Amino acid sequence: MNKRILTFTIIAGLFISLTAFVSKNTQRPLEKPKTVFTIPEDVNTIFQNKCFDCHNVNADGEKSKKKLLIDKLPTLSKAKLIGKLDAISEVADEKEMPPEKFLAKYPEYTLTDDEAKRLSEWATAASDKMMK
Amino acid sequence: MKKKILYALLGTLIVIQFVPSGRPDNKPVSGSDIHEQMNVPGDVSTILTNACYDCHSQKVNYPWYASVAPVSFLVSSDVREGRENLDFSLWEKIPLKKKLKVLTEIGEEVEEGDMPLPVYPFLHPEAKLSQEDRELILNWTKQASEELLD
Repeated sequence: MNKRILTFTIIAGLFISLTAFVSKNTQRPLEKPKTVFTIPEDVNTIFQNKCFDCHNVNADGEKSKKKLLIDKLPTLSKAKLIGKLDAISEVADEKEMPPEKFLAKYPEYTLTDDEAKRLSEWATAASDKMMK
Repeated sequence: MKKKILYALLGTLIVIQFVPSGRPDNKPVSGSDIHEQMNVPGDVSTILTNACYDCHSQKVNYPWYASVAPVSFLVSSDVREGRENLDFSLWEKIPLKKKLKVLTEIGEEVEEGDMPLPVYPFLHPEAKLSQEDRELILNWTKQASEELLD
């Protein structure tokens, strides 16, 4: 009798571990590769201080919102996100933003060289990573 | 007095004809147009050719008045700037990331009615885009982007 219970336990144990093994292996490829898009702290600070006031869903201007919504970046399709990141690095490199006219009124929004460089490097690296 | 002004205007008009407009030539590169690089459906192709290619390609059709100053200045600068931002004829040379950026922007600007420039369809009625045309372009840009990422 004891032998029977032992055999049963062993078989059951084997079976359970086998199903666990199989399900683990079949589930893996089904899991969608989650590409969680996160903005590093220091980049986010630059965004918050220099860009966000015009480029968020609740901002006033229409044109700035059409071009870029920072708070919507994580919801974009991969293709669009790469496109936007490329635009960000281009704009940062050329210091096209914030607009000159705006800076005449609010000079405190001017991107420093370091900030522009950081934004551009981050955007380039992030989009490179997404294309792999 | 009125005559004098008229003469002055006429004189100016004649003189500015001798100012070179620097009209950009067409320099197509065989095999590098977007039509040769990607799948461009027929209806999309018609719109691109009719509404975009006069500034955004190396297949610009210059009408006769594009040689007359001051219109020539406007046309030349539009073509130069247009090609700088996007040249469908040199598609092959655009890096992949830039292609994705450009496609996103095409969708945005065409959807919003920012492109073609509102002045253009006045003399080119075939470039006037309907709402369906604009949606067609928008959907194509999304498709093309996905295709590029595959």
